[in-house]
Amino acid sequence: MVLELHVWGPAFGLPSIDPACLAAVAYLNHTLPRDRWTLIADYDPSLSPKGDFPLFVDGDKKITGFTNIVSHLRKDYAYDLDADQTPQQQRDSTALISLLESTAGPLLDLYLYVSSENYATTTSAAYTAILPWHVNYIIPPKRRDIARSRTAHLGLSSLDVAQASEDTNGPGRGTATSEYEAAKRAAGIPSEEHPPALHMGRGKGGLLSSPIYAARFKLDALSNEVLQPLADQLGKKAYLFGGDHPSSLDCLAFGYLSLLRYAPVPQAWVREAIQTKYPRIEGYIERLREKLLHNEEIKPADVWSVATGKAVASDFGLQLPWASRRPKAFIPQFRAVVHDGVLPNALQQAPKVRHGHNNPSQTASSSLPSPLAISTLATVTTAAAIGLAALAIQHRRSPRDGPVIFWALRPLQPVFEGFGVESFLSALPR
Amino acid sequence: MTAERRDQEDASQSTRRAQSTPSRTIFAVPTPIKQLFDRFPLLTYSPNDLPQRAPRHRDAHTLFVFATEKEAVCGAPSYNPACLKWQAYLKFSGINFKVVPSNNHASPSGVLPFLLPASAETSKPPSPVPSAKLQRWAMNNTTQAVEEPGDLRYEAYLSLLDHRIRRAWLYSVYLSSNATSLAEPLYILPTSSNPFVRLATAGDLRRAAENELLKFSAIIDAEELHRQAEEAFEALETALGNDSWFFGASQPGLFDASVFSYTHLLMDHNLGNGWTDTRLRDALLKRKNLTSHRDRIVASYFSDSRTGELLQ
Repeated sequence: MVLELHVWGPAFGLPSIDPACLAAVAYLNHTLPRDRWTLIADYDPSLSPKGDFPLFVDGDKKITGFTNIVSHLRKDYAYDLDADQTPQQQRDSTALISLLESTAGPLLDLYLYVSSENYATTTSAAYTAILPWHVNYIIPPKRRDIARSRTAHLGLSSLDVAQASEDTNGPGRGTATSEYEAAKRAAGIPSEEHPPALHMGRGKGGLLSSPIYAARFKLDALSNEVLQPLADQLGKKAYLFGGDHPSSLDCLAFGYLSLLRYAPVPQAWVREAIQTKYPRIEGYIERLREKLLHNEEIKPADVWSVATGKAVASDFGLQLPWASRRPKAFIPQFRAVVHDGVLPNALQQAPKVRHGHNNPSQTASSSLPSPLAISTLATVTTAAAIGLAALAIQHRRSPRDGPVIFWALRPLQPVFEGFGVESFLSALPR
Repeated sequence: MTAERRDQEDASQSTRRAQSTPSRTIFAVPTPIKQLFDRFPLLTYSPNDLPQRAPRHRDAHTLFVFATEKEAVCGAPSYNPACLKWQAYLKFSGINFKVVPSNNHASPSGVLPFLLPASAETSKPPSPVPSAKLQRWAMNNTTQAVEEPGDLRYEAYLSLLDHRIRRAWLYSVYLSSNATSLAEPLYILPTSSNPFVRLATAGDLRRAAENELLKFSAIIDAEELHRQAEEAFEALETALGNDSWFFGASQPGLFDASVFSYTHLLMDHNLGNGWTDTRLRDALLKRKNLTSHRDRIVASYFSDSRTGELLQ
């Protein structure tokens, strides 16, 4: 049986644009023989039970996520790159994978997605090459939004020009004074806030305080946070845990580092840091690329024609076992477009939470008002409102003379005097 | 006539005496008015309390945490992991401080905990120390500074706590069935007595937790989160080994405080109204080294407080 690996498509000469997918491709390419598995450049994450790639399909089983794929291959097929690790190393590997995900992930988010210059010139173009035209309006912006939310705590939104123009000058914005100052600046009148003399330095108005330079210091610190621990762990070894072959941790590190190293972005602060400060890490990335992917330079156009079924992998001499994705129904795709692009956020379904099988039934009673009480209250209020409205409409259609009287005592006397009692009595049989 | 006159004079004198006795001084208050004003004040109010923000204990360091009034008085551990971490760390550093129950709105940085250092002079209030700067502050203000190992494994294992276990904690407390038994009595009910405000707060809290988890996966999968947390506990368990403190230190440090902040709350079966979804708790209870690590900290640093009795 052929195992399938679904990933986001290739970019920057690498097999995938996503670090976890890239790591999975590298891992499978290094462990499995070429005829055991196929690689599919996919774009519809609804295939995956977790809503993201890499997705590993083994018959009926669908496994997502790099570490889950690694442990599945270890359990079911005894393909394991980490077999010779000591328990201590396995533990460290778990911790280092977590460290890599939590530090290199945000760095990559900033580098490829949040930085508007990099995103506009490189990342969105790379996505155009691997996605059908209509999905380009959905997936890249969505991934960019997620990247923004993941890096929001770092306070580097100044990289994001579209956002940076919205919030000017931190405190006191929106006040009359600041608007006046802004208007003066816009008109080219020098204001007290920004002295006209151009001075160096990071202080207010200084050359280095312009967003891109101010952010640069933070960015360099961030890239050092990722690269320094790796450089320390690597030391003079060929791989992170020594030995003569890469481990699963090396594959994941390759996933992150190769994207940081090979993405041809205009604001290349991480690539520069790797090249100037960490030559050993650069050598490590090149070694891994040679060992795991045989230095193949992958062209997205070739993979695209293989994925759409117009060609097979051997036509282009592709070393990875690329295969075509199954033709999919048009309707679900259309629905996804409507769902993500057209409907406003409020109408979209709530994000899914899977509670799992052994989630105990609700035992604790809540002291908040129950949904039943809320809906009852809402129904009653709505009914009352509708009733009043109907009454108002009714009154407008057939207005009565005089003031509207909802409830009043009928004047008693005239009733008796007029037609009331006498006519009533006269109608009675005597 | 004389008798009559005398009688009249007596009568008039007696009335005049009654009238003229007070009028000896011109400024005296007439009797009825005096009687009326003698009734004042009708009611004396007790003096106003100090404003909420006024510091009560200027002479002691004050740590503002999530806690109930009763627990704060006896210095019991906070029910929020972030607060408990710093509470434990300050205890490890040998700093005396008071715990004050508070909420996020009170904090200058928007998150608890923060610390108000003691000040001798009342004219210049000390500036509060947010949680990000607490470690440095604690090192500067104690004689027995806790040394932190600076190696790579420290960072790596810390990321296990800050990401995997934190995410499982977020799911477990705010999204699973524990939301009604833990998050509700601890975080929602104290905020307001109005049921609608409570309902809105509960919705906000739940959405915030969901959004935080959705940053890292498109779908929140409880089993995946618990599996990752279990791996993390296993790694921490073996990293601790049979040592007393993490990384073979001679006294507990920030890392021990971070581990303790989760393990203690997970093991505290009286937290809120008790755990209903016990998956994360069960995953921890299997790890004997971690549970004894927690018991050790409770016994040596929190023994004076209420939780000393809760040792299992």
